[in-house]
Amino acid sequence: MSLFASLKSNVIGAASLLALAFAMPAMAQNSSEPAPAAKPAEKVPNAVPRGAVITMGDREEKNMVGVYMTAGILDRILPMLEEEKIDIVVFRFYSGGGMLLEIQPLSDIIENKYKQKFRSVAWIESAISAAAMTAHTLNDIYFTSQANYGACTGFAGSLDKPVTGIELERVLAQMEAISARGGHDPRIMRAMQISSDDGDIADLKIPGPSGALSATIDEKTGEVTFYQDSISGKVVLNPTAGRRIFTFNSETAAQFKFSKGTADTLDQLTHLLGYKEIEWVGEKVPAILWPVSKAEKKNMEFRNKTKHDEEMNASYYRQFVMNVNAAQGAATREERLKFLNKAKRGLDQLEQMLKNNPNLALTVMGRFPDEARKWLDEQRKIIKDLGK
Amino acid sequence: MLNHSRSSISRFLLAGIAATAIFASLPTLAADPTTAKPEVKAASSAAKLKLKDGRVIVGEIIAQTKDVIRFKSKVSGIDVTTDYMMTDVEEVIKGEVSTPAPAADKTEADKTAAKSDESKDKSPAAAAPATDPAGTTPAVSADTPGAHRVYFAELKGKFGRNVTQTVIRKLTAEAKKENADTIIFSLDGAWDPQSPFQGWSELLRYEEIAPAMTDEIERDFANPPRVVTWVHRAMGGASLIPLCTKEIYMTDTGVIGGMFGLDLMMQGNRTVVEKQRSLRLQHAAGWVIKGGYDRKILYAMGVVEYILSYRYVGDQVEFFERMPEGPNEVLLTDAGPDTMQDLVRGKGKAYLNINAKIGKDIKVSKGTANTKEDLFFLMGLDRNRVDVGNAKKICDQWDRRIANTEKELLKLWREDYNETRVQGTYEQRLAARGKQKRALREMLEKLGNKELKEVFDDNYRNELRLPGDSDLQSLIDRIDIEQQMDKK
Repeated sequence: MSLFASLKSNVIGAASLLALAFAMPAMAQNSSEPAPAAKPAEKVPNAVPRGAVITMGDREEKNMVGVYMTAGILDRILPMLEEEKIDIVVFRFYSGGGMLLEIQPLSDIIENKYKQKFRSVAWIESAISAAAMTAHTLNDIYFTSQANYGACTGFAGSLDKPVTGIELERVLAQMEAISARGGHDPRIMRAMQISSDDGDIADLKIPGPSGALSATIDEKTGEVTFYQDSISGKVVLNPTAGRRIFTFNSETAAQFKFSKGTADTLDQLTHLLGYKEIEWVGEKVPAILWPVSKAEKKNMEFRNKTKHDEEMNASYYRQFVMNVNAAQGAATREERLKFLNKAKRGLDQLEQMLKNNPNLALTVMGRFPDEARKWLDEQRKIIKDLGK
Repeated sequence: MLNHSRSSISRFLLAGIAATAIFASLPTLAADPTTAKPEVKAASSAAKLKLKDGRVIVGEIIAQTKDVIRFKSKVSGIDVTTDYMMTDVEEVIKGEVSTPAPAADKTEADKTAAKSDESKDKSPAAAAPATDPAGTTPAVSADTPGAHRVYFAELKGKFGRNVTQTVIRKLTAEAKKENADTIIFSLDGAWDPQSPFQGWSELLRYEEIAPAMTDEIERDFANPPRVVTWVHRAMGGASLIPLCTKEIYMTDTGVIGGMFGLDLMMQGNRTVVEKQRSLRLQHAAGWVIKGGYDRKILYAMGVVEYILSYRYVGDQVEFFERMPEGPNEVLLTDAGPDTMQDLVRGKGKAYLNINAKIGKDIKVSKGTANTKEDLFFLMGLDRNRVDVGNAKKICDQWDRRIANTEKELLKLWREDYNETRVQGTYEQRLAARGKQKRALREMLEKLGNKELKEVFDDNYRNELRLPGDSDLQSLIDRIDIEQQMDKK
């Protein structure tokens, strides 16, 4: 999936719609209220703090939220970070967004587990849409020079299908709660989600205010005050250059104190984090700007397997279907079993794919994970019956 | 012949002046380590410049080549150093500034050279050899201690095909091996837009390339080199290649642009479309910020309704997101649209295309150089420089590899797969299917190569009418099944 995956793929778009449809009940159970005390767990501090970079997406077309960036993998690698005695987890974001479904689980695991156990910060190279909505859980957000952050309008598959009405209102409310978790002014995220133009808001079938955003920086204290309109603040942020959805760059993020600073290298980030030295844990790998910890290695393997499965799932499925068809036409039982064995291998590959990443049920099979498992069981029964 | 000799002598002398002047003066060259040499003194001479636009500027010649003159004058009491193309200069009057130099049979460069003969710099630096006209011969030999090592790479051809992150990584790897102090990317990209928004369509491709020119260089070199782009043509996605580097020079026909049409691209719900435009705008703006340029320049390049004007405050450029409000403000872009006549001639004001003049005016370009000699001169590298590496070989190899792979893929697909008939005896059918499978597998293997994958993406495959990986695998699966079901 590419950075602008949601633009390219109707399958993903459909998944987004599904995701939205059933993300809301989950929200009710997984309250987005700020955790009472987001403090690192008590432990003996390292003399020099130990840090690990965990990538949230990469540049090799593996960056879609919900596919390559999931709560599941963050949960799996967390014990490895603990084993490596990590104090600081840096979530490095490079993602063009993805499924609304995954925002709440990601926010929950960051808020309820990572922020409790580690000093957790975001380091943004690109966080668009669902990626920015995920990063918003974090209090300390750093940018690279070229970073961008925002443009969080929800839509379902094609550009003429925005999330509207009550569904949109729910997402707006969800993000107000996640803004509170990260300690960010909720007006910022609203400006990223909906247009600054009242006419556009009417199209979205929600009441105002619009996503217009302006801000004033107190000359004495440096304190920034945001306004949800384009007249109250001294500087208008939304619209910018005629664009009516807000996206931060490194300069505006720093100027309006949304980011804690701009760092292009680990050394610069170390300094911004307030340390002279951090032991960045992991192996040096060519073409990667930070050491790769065991947890990050696992995270990368997850994305690679997901990518491979995304590319090959049609082949797994074909192997199953074509061999079942061939088995049905086979003249002898021996020949039939030969085809059925190959069909079973196709099903096994699909099962392994879902074991690594249950969300692929939605994106490549067009089914919810439970439905996909049920479907697999049914096909196994067909194979068994044909083998009799 | 006489003129040629005289020109050579002039260049020889001028190079000496140029070197001393640059070593001692300009803050714009602060990045050049050679500027730190304290023992070299400045040499300059009082003069008047009569420009072809009628202006007469009084000041000092700081340095000069055949095509460029560096001139220091005062603006509102502040010293300002400006490089003028000799093509813009009517006459250079030295010494007795009230008396124009005659010698109508001499070139402009010769005129000033003759004058400079009279006040020849006696410093040791002036006696050093000059570069050759093409700038291809090192000013010093490769084993000269302390020589500034320059790696010069020409990026030509199609963006994302001939100009990719792989070829740039190969170039920077060689530059690293050669301990280059400076890397110069000369950029002359092909530009044949297939859509009005091609630049924005190429943005994602650009983002794959950009780190190879920025973060990876910073990371991979113990002492990161000075990175410079010399722009002949940088259009569309390629326009961001120079804009992510901190030092840009342009030829006098050079242009950076083609990023127009952001606010015209895409159809659909207004808010959803705005999201897509906003994220793209800030993706691109981020790289311009990284290069150290004002993001408003990018907005003006991409957004038709964006108005941008500027004025000078001292030596700095101040931009305004509005029409000019005084005689000292200059309009860069209005809210369009352009007339058809202006649009096709690249003269419109709806979108900003940065030509050499605008580039210098708004201080995106550090100078205009039409030859390598001029470029090295402007960069302060016309002397004590050694050219290292063989970038041309790397680029040529890459271009050949792409061309050969394309040829091989087309042969495999058209001849070995499509034109192979599965017919005849069982053995013949078996052999034919084997040949088809081998062709498909070989295609998958080639297209699976990480470096080639950059080039043979979905767009290029569509252009060549080659199937995607999944379709290739599907065909292999089908052949397997057909073979299993075939009977002797």
